[in-house]
Amino acid sequence: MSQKILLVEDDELMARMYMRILSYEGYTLETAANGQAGYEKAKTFQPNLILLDIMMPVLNGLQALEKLKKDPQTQACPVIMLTNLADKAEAELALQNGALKYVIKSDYDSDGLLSIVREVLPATD
Amino acid sequence: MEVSDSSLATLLYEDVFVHSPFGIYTLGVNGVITSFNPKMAELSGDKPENAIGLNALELNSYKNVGLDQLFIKGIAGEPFETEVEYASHLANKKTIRHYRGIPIQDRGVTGQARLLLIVEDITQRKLIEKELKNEEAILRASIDGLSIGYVMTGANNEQLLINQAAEAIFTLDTPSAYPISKAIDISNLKGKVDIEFIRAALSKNVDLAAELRRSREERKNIILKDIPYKLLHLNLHISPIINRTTDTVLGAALLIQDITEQKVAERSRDEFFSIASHELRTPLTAIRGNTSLIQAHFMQDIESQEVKDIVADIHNASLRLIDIVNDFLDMSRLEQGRLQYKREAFDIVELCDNVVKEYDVTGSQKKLLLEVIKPDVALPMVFADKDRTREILTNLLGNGIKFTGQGGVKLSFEQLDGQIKIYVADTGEGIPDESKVLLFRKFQQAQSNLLTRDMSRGTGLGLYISKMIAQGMGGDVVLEASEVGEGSTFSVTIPIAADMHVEQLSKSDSETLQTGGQH
Repeated sequence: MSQKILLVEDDELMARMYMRILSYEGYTLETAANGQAGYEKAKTFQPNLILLDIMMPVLNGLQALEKLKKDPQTQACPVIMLTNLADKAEAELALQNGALKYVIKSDYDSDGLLSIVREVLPATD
Repeated sequence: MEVSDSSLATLLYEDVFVHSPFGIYTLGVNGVITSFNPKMAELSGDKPENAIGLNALELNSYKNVGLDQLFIKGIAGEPFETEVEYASHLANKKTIRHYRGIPIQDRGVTGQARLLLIVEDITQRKLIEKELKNEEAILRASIDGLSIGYVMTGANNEQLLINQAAEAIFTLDTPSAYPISKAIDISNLKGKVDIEFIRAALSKNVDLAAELRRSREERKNIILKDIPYKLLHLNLHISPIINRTTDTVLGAALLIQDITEQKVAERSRDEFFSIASHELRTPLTAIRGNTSLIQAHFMQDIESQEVKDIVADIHNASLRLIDIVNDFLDMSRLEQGRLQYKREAFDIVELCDNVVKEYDVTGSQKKLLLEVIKPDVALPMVFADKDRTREILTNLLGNGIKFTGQGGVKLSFEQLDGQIKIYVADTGEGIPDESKVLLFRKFQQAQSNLLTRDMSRGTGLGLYISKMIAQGMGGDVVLEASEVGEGSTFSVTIPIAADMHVEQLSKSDSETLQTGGQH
């Protein structure tokens, strides 16, 4: 049974790229395009890891994180925040609210992102 | 010889008459000059013997300036005082004289004097007064013309002078009305705003009276930055007014600078940078990620080496753009003092090892020797932001590698008083003297003007940013030495951690262990 990752990202370009990076590695992926949809999907999909963008419509990443961490069905799932926001303070707020870490997207290429994901979920082919 | 009291008095009067610094003469009831003292002779250029007997009412020199009419009134018993200007007997010189006419009671003795005239040459005094007035007017106009508020206060904080800008700042109190040169009707400002008004207006944030006093007592300039007043942001500069000759403090000058527009511009610039960087980074990340995916998974599908090279070029270009965006963002933050530094104790040698390791591949590609010269004795921990320190070291090492063709880059250490200095020495092309002064400025690279810039060598922000970061953490980045063709040595200084910081570190380490760690 392969490891499941939920990617919550509103930018299609980014979503497609992350899906490629992760699916080539053998992870099973589902995506959601905003925080609310992500939260809903997390309950049914029961992922082993959630990658959560911050700046998103409907429910932003920080609000979604709060819901995820309050809900017993989802609170145990590790969450990594993905952001290109320049504001470190917001990213650090995410850590206080239970995110495992935050990743400045532009700081990592495919290998970089993979090594971060692998730290949490060793890949299964 | 016996002298009677009355003749003694007469003698004294005569002395006064002869030696008086004022011109004195008298007119009889018909206007005829009856006496004329030596000073008056000097002033008019007439000898007393020639003047006495002339009818003053008939002299043109008096008629021309209307003195004859005053003489007539004076003789009739009406005292007068006037200033007249007329051509002097001296070549082409205007003189101004002050005339005081004093009617003399006819004591019935001689019946001679009816009008006593006391004359003073006030040409010089008038000239000085005029100059002073001019100076005052010029000073006043320059102070009022300042777009900066100016209030001069005395030894008891009392207001001596206030300019229009100061009044305008506190009357208009909206940033859009600035500067006052933008044709604002300031005629209705006068008097509404004074030092008391300003003191009260700022009292929530500043004890202005105390600051003025402190400036006088300590003879110091005081600068109070970004003081809010309604919607405005003000900078206040207080400087003592000292009379250098007598070495006394006369008061204090208060300059009020409205920096609101600047502040608003800064804020919107920061927002712009924040949004722009997000918007730029996202597609750049997609380019970077996708090209790296091709390189990681599909290179075997690409037959043409040319296409492989193109993919590599696209990938490298995206990396460079991301660096530029990050540099711009850092610069914007640093310039506004908005970059926050973590304070942590860490091992600087270990950090240097890690930074050098990251460059191992680049170093061996260029066949350069990268080494860290370990200190003979263990160095104390430093106390700074570790990530930011890594950024500085990465920049210095990266520069060293970039500008070095053969040889290598060496990192070494020196313990100073309270600081550790890390030397980054390369054997590269070196920096010519004329470029050294520009090195730490924005967008500067050694040896480059705009057209000959080598953009592949970066944005020219690296050293500027590194220096600002180092200074923000209590250290510095400087060029130690550089010789064209021989290489350059830069250094970065970082404060040493106090014992308590190291203790905190070991404590937080054990806490992390107890909670099982977060990583």
